[in-house]
Amino acid sequence: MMTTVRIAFRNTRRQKKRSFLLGGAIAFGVMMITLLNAFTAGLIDNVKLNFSYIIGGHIFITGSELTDTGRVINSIGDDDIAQTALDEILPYVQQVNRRSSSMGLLIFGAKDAVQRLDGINWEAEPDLIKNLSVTEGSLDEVTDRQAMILPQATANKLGVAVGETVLVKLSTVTGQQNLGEFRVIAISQDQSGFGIDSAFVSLSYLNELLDLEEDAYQMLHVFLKDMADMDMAADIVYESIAARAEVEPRYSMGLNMDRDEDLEEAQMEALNQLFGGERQVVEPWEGTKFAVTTLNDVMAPVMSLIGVLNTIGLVVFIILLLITMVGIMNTFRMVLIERTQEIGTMRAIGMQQSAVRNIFMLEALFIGLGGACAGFIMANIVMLALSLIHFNTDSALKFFLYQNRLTFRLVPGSVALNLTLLLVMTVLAAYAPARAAARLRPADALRATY
Amino acid sequence: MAIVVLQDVHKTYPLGKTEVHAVKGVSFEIEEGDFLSIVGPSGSGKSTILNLIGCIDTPTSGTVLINGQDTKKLTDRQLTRLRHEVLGFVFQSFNLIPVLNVYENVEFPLLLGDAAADKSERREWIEYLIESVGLAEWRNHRPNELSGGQRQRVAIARALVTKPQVVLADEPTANLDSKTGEVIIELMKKMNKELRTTFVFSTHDHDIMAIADHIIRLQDGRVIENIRRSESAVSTETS
Ligand SMILES: Nc1ncnc2c1ncn2[C@@H]1O[C@H](COP(=O)(O)OP(=O)(O)O)[C@@H](O)[C@H]1O
Ligand SMILES: [Mg+2]
Repeated sequence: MMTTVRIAFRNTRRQKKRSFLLGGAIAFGVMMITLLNAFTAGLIDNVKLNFSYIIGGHIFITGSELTDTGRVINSIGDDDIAQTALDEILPYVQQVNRRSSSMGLLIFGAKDAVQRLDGINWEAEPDLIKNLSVTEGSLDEVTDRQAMILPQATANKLGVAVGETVLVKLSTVTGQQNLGEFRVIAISQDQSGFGIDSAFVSLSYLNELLDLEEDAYQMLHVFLKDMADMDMAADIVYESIAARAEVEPRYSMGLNMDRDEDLEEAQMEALNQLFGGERQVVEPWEGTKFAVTTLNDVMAPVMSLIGVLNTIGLVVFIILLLITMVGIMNTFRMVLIERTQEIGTMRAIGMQQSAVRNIFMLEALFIGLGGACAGFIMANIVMLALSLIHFNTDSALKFFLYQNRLTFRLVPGSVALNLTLLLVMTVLAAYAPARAAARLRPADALRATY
Repeated sequence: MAIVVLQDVHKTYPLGKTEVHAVKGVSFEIEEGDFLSIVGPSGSGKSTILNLIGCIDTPTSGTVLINGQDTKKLTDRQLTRLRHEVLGFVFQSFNLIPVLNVYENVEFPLLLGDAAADKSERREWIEYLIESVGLAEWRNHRPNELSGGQRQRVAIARALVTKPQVVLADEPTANLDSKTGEVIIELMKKMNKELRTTFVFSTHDHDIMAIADHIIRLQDGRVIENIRRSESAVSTETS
């Protein structure tokens, strides 16, 4: 066996240029697919991380209550149920924030704009201050009762500057019109690029305007220690709440292969509750109706987009491999002709057919492996180089970056899949010529003069 | 007992729509320890007969017995084993493995077998053969660094490494100048005497066939003469 391996290995170096070209094609394919996979994995990580800061968590528990007049109020009236659920995932939790939020009409002079307001307990959420990027003003006075941090887009629309005061018209949870006054202390960069950036205000003042208790809240934002635990923890929370109260069905993209419309409607409801969209009462309920949403749910459209990107990458990789396969097949047909007499010699001396076949397939395998290694190393070099670039951007692009840099993450599963695919296809390509070589009749092979 | 027996062997090759009758009813025996030369003009069937004895081809009709085994009844696997264990080959164009050096080329057939043999013993045997064919200083060179005569010496060492009963050499001197050719045949004769290995070689060179003890003369696919030198003519067939 060692003889076969040794001869196969040395054979790869007989036609250096040819092996180099084949290996190079393979290396290129491996490099591109490795780069793409690592790039998208890093992208997802960054988007999730940035997103989690913007919308303030990984798991969100919202509640809605029904008034006697049939109005839906966004409020968690029963903190005990939520707290019991949170206790069950305590080991995974890093931080829990309780926020209120409302859509409001911002008025400045003759201009107005609809804007979502998030009421923040700034003492409880120091990380938000750290992660907000402010284009104008400063966050020094963030704890002022009437301070407001306004997203750039809305500030532009209103023509408001730092230090100026805006009026906010909103509805209390019971549907009364109310008016508040905020002073813009800072303007934040639009991070999401999806137009869903919130204006941040103080929780207690917003509660007052919403006609909630000073320490009440509408949404529980849960930061986990590890984002990977997100779906698992959300399921635990969901089960716990479901055992004690009404809860909207979980929004889970992957699991419902056969989607039914009721479920989809309910899931839309859960998302609406999170983002304060238009509400419709389908069926009345008692007490607080909860909804559990995760960052993954919110990210699902982005993820599926990236999934599509990876699938396209894989298809291109396979096409590249198919082209390489044709190259390998032709090369080994040529090799077969060139080495006919040598094969005859080895067969005459006593080499079995299987060994002749193995020499061919091993040679292909070595070229494949060599190309894969080179491609993998090249991919890592390119990744390193790209991750050194500091992007001084203030656009939505920042959303995909981590501290202004691209990050790459090798996903072992993808690397293994690509490598397996490559090696299987390489060996398959060499199989037909290898078998032909093995089946040459020794006498004929020895007579051959090329 | 004869180690190789040919009985009324015929071989036809398909050639387009017709056939070439290359060997037409050949019968002879090769005794253990023979130093046999098969001679005849080009196209007389020398290579065909050597291929049949060498089990790299099978007769169209008639029987070829190696050690009493009918080669027609063996599978490809068994024939390969037989070639490996009983036979050795020396080719006209040397046919060394280009990616292996002298030592590795000589060692090569040993690695194809089950190779349970003692490593140091094996090494000694290979070194002995390389020494015997006079290439001790070239053991680490690749074939393309050697002259034709040197390459054929490597081939002889390689053919002998498995301690075969019969070494078959199809025109081993055809690609060498006559002086070198003679030296090669003398080397084969030396190994024949030292190791009691049977040698069968084909040639159309009169000086070279003179070294053989046993000559089979072919013409047009038939044996026209079968002479044992030491005991004068054993038999003479004319057709
Ligand atoms: N594979 C083959 N196919 C067709 N004809 C062949 C083949 N091998 C040998 N022959 C023919 O058989 C005859 C004997 O050839 P060969 O045994 O090679 O003779 P020699 O070795 O004495 O020159 C020649 O006419 C040759 O052309
Ligand atoms: Mg010939």
